[in-house]
Amino acid sequence: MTKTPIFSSPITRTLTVIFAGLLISVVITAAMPSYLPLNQGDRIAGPTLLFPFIWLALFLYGAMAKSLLRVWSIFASLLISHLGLIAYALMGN
Amino acid sequence: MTTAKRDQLKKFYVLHSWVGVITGILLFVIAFTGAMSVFARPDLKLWANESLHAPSLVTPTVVEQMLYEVVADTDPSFLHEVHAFLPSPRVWTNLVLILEQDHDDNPNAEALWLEYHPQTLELLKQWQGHPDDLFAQRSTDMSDFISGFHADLHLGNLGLILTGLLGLTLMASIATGLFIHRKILKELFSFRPDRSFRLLLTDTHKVISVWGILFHSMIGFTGAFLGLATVLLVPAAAFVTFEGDQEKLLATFSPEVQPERSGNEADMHVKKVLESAFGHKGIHPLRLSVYGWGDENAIGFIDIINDNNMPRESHSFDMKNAEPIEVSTSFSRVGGISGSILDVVFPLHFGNFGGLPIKILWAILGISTSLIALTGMMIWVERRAYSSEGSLSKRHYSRVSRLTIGSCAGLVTACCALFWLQRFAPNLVANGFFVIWGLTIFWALIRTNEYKTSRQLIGLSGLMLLAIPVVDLFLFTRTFFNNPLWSHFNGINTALFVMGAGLCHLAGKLPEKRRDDKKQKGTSSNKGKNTTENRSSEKHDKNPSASTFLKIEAKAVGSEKAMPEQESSQ
Repeated sequence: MTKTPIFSSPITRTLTVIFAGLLISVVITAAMPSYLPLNQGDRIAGPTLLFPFIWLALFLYGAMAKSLLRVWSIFASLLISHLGLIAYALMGN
Repeated sequence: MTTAKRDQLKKFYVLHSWVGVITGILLFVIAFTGAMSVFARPDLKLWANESLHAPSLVTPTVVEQMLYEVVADTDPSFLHEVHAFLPSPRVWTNLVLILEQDHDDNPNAEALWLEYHPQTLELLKQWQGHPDDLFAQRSTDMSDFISGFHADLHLGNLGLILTGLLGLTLMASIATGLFIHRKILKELFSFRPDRSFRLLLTDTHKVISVWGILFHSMIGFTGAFLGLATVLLVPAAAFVTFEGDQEKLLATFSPEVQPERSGNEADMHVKKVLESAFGHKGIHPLRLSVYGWGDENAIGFIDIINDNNMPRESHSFDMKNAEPIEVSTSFSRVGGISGSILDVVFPLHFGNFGGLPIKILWAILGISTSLIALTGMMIWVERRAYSSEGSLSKRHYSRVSRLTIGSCAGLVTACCALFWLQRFAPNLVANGFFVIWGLTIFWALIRTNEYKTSRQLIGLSGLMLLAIPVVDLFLFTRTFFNNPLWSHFNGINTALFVMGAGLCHLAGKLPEKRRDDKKQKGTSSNKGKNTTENRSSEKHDKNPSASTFLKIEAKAVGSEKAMPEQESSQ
């Protein structure tokens, strides 16, 4: 009986989500002050404190999701949307 | 259990295994040196520096006199910032006076460094140069080496990223471990050391993980934050709000502010200001900084460790009349809930609150974190070398096992050797540490029996610690326990002796070869059969607290035996 593997490329996937998760969570941390409705201190320091949890959520999702394609599309959407927010904030809007 | 749930558990298990095996050795290194770093200041610093073994002559009066003398002999442009770093086992072992030119507008501004012995007040070192090179002038010892190694492996920013990543992967291991072992309460008491070697490893791994879960989670979070803060998080935070200007971000939230100079001269009441911080129980002044020396608007800041308050305090004073202005903490200007959390991240990570009992507890829990990494690596090897999970030959897994033992037990040996290096070759602390560690790894790799190697390395470590107090008896002639500093010093030596005896005892208890080797000798050629025997012994274990994964594994032998091999080969 042939069986579909329950977990495709565990080592590659683990290493990929560790580093892709790191990159995306850093970009999210940089962009979050532009939209968080908090005072200046919390707006800047809050995302840095949330960073480990953002990374953990991305890591667990990326590692556990069935389709690597879906993982990459969600990661790419998060990356592009937050890069856009950073660009929007830097342009002074 | 449905197939979907079983598959999900299996996924978590595979993820837990691979994250663990990729980061295991490094996690042991960081956790073990972290447990040692808990005592770096003040205990190891006091032990390492003879200049701290006698009471310091540095009093508020002495600091005021010396500052006035230095200021009188120095170019007035150096009075933009005047700092006095006070000798103590906390950070600075000698009295250091630093005078700086205004470097905000002048990139070529310089700083002057004057260092004095705390008992004789003799000038030990004078240096003038760029402020960026100031902290390279500080003399270091084994306590600085081990805390620096824990923080960044002495690799600079790359090391900080690595240790930060390890904090993150520790959080990931805890999260995946929680999914695998959901029956936490049962795991708390599931320790069966006499059944089999693998069960001993898995039970130790689970019991230590579950009992210390809050500590391990806190260490993962604070470690990730502290590791990545300066390299990634502060630049990221400054990127949008301060357009990438990190200096501006830090200046906005720094508790120390430059005063507006009036141009009118005034006396600086250094003695009165320092007296507010000296001689109070539980208050440890570290530094006095005066901005705008000689001006009537000058402000002084005293950095204080207060045993009754977790964050480090900064007390500001009007230097003209020694009136207190305010008490702030490192992040009180951040405000909100984030400021309060940031203030406790560092003390929580290093156990710098609550005195010695918390430090001892933190060290024990830190060692337990390192043991989780070690037992995790050993379980990974066991499951692959002695059962069907491995796709490579036993020889390959044996190499991983020898590397693990060499790196981990070798690190313990190298850390114990630091005490000898500090006493007999203080300038070779860093190089000596890496040479000894490298040699132990090499030795472990060329030996065939890693069990014997670990016994010998642990035994050698124990002997080194046992001998240190004896050596100190000959090196130092001061009377035993005749003053509080010496009581502290002798207390540390007694602790080293006890730990040495403990390590020797542990070395005697460790097996000389794998406990199950005899049973498996005749069946080593038949991995599958051997595996089934091992697993069935675990499966037939009627203890209801056996882990969920062991049950899944037992089922997998029958229905999905080939699966782990398929995964490994992909």
